[in-house]
Amino acid sequence: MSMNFSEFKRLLGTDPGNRDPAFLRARESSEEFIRAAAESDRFERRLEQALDIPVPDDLLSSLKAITATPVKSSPPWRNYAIAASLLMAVAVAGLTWRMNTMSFDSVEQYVVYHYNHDGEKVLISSEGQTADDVDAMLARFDVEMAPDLSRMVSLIKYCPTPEGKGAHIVLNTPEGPITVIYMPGTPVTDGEMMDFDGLQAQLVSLAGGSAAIIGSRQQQVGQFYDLVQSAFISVPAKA
Amino acid sequence: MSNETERQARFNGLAEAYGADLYRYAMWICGNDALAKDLVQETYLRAWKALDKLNDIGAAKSWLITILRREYARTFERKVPKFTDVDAIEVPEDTEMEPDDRLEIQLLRNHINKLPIKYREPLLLQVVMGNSCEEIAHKLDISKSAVMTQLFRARKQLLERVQKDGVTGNVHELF
Repeated sequence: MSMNFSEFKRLLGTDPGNRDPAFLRARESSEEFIRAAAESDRFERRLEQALDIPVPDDLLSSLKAITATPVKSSPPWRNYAIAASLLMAVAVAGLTWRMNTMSFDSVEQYVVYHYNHDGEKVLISSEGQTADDVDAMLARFDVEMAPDLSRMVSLIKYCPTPEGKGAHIVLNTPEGPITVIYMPGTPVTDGEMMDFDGLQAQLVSLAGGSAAIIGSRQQQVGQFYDLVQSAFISVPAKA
Repeated sequence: MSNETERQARFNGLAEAYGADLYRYAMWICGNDALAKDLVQETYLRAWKALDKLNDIGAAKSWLITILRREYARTFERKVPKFTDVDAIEVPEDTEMEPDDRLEIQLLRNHINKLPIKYREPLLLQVVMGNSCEEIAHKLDISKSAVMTQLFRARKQLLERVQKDGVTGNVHELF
């Protein structure tokens, strides 16, 4: 049975790749059908081109890296934290934090590794940027950022942290760009200063987590402690 | 080949086959690069952990889309932010495309991004993920006829909007 033009146009609009023999025959049945099919084909090509947005170069490698993740879930971080407090008392190191394939003996080691991994690269990509998605990005952690700090954010992205996932943030300050790594659920020694590779970092304890402020020694990251400490505000999760 | 090596090879195959399209799909539903990458990462992490439950490799694409949609819903059960990264994606100036063609694609992207999600998502599932109307109906838990209506309206709205822009070439009274 042949298809009328109205049915044909309807199918072009809903399922132009349909392989039904009646539809395929109709595509070539008359001038009117041929012209409509050609216009539809052109539109579909444009649609495919428009939807074909570029994919990050590192997407595939980052997905393949997942195979290094243990299939069985690791013991919860809290158990490690309890064990850590006991072990630290006798100066025995031996804890393991897992971040993808990497293991860390301490949050300090994580901060150094994480910054060395992509800290400089993120700083470079933040140049001239203004982040307008801070609240949306932090919403998944049930946290908001106070305007004093959020207006300084030039870039924010998700990143792995000892407890799973956090945010890598770059602040645009008068002293130049400063990195803040937000680590939900990760306890730290509040105010602890660290020096590594010519950089300085300060750990900040927050409600429900912690942060590391990282910059050059000249930038005196300690001056941002109060700002960061008061800026991460817990918001109740919607039921 | 050991079981673990086979498992990794199977997983890598899924990453190669569907990773890019899932990223595009995620990007078009959430509109933010960081979140799209995160959604795809979470999807594949869950897939890796549950890979042994996937008995039919032919069902893998559908399985991954379902995981991603659940993860997206879980992410936004608290809040639905407005992201606009997708607006900023520019059509590369490759040599094979005329400036008018690039402009048309750019305008079409803007219009796709503005489509209501109930029209945009079936379109993405069809064009980006290659799903049939039946598969889309199953995923969205709506009837096939509802899917067909949404797909038709999505295309009609896009066509009307690009026609208003005056850059649609010969496409006039298609729908």
